[in-house]
Amino acid sequence: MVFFERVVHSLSRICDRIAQAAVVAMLLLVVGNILLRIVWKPILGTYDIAGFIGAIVIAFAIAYCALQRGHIQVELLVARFPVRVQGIIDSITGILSLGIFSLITWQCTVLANHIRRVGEVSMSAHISYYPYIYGVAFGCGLLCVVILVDLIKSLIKVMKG
Amino acid sequence: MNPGTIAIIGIVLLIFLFLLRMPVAYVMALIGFLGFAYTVSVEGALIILGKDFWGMFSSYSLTVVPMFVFMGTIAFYSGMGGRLYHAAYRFLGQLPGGLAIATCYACAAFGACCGSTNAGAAAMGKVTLPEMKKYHYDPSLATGCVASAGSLAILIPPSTILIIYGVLTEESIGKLFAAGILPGILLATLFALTVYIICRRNPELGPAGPRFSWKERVASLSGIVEMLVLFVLVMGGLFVGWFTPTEAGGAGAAGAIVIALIRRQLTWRGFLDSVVETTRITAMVFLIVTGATIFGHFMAVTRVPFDLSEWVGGLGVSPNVIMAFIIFGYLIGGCFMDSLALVTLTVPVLYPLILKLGFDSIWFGVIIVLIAEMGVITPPVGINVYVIKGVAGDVPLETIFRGIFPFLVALIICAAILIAFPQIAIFLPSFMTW
Repeated sequence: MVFFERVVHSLSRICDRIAQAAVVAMLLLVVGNILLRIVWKPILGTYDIAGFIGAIVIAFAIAYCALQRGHIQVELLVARFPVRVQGIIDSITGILSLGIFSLITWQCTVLANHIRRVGEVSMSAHISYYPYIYGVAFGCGLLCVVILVDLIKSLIKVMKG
Repeated sequence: MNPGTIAIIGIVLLIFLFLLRMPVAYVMALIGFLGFAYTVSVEGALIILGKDFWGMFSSYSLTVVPMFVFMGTIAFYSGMGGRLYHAAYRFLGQLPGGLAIATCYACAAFGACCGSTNAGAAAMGKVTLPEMKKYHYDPSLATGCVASAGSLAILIPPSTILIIYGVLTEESIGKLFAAGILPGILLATLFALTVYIICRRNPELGPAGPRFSWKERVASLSGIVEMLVLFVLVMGGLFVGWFTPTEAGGAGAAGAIVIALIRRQLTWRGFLDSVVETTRITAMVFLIVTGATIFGHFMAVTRVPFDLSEWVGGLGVSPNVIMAFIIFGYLIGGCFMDSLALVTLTVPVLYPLILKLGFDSIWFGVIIVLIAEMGVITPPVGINVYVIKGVAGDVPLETIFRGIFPFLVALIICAAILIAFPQIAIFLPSFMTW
């Protein structure tokens, strides 16, 4: 379990680094487009590309954000309960979270498969964008794994009392 | 079961799961999916999951979030808040309560570079609290002041909450930003007045600091000039239509980096930390907005927002009374829930009602931000209070919450002034024709 947790942690961190690089890339694209628009001509398809980079930023950052307890939650009530009760509640919500994000991962993969099959391209840059949807599916899948780690930890908490 | 009943069951389940510590974004996506599946079809709900996640994550209009967050984190890590405070301190420090008054205006100025209330409170708390401690300011006044004034960052543009409100309601983010300027200045002045009145009644709470020469004061203005340059670049570009909101954020972030490099105030470590912080905040914001979008689809198919607006509209009660109830509801909700989550959850439901009652939607965005500001300082969830507690570890939480009270009154007065004179918020956006 410790090894599995360490692997998930490292992978999430690597993905977050990719998201960080994507933020810088987005900044360079946006500012580059402003400057080139002034001195020459705008970068074709900036809106499309910025949106795709944005998708990579979010998809690759959500798992690490979850690891750092970055997603907003209401701590008021459960924190007052005994550890075992907290473990039971966290296990139930963990199963629900895992369920919904498994569905999201699956549906993003289905959408990416569909876009790849029909060969759809973006509106202005005319580039195939299905790889970015696979990226979103991957990010959601990684979030599922993070949720799974938390779920296992909660179950251990319940077992040990 | 009729759609209205399904919606009510969905909302009850939503609140129940919130209380069970399940992340707000996950709950909204889950209940939205289940509700849509039950009301329309499982196939439709599954399709919505994939489309909404891809659609929101890749939305160009939402790329404005990481750009403005990046600008704010660079301003934070390059110590811009400190320079603003030192400038305000040199002009106002000699007044009774002058350091706290300087804090209010420095927070307002920092808000012009940063759109996050936590970052505003943390940046200014680190700089101002040691100074106020040195001059024996009452800890309750000092911490209450900086926790409250730190929240000005979400009213004075750029503002994360105004961006999200704009995205959810399809209002112009440029107009919303412009609408926040005058109320932001008004609120900063009300906070400063609050400090002044407190310290006039009991000068021991905020003893006067040293008087600085005009030479020292003029020298300190460079800290304000860089903020003004950034503000004019971002808001000016938006105002005249040179930039899209994303471009304005990008120009602001690049401008903040250039200023920090020229001043040699940004280390490589600071730059990396600001990028790390940017991805964390962006991921949190996007996930919650995407969850709210899925939940919004469920609400839309049950027609609850429209039925609610029809029902309330038919009551024959004055719109201002209804607005007072809405604000009161937000105030209570804000005590238990994060402001961003509360806004994303409620705006899609209340927006049709606001339009039906004849209120200006831009004005309501500003009111929402004011209420969010109340939410970040009221117990037990008031996040800014915990941020300040993290900075001033020796001050008990109760002391900070006690110090908040006069500033909460100032916030309520500001909301009342804006209800009586909505022109304060909608005056500047009226000049924007696009």
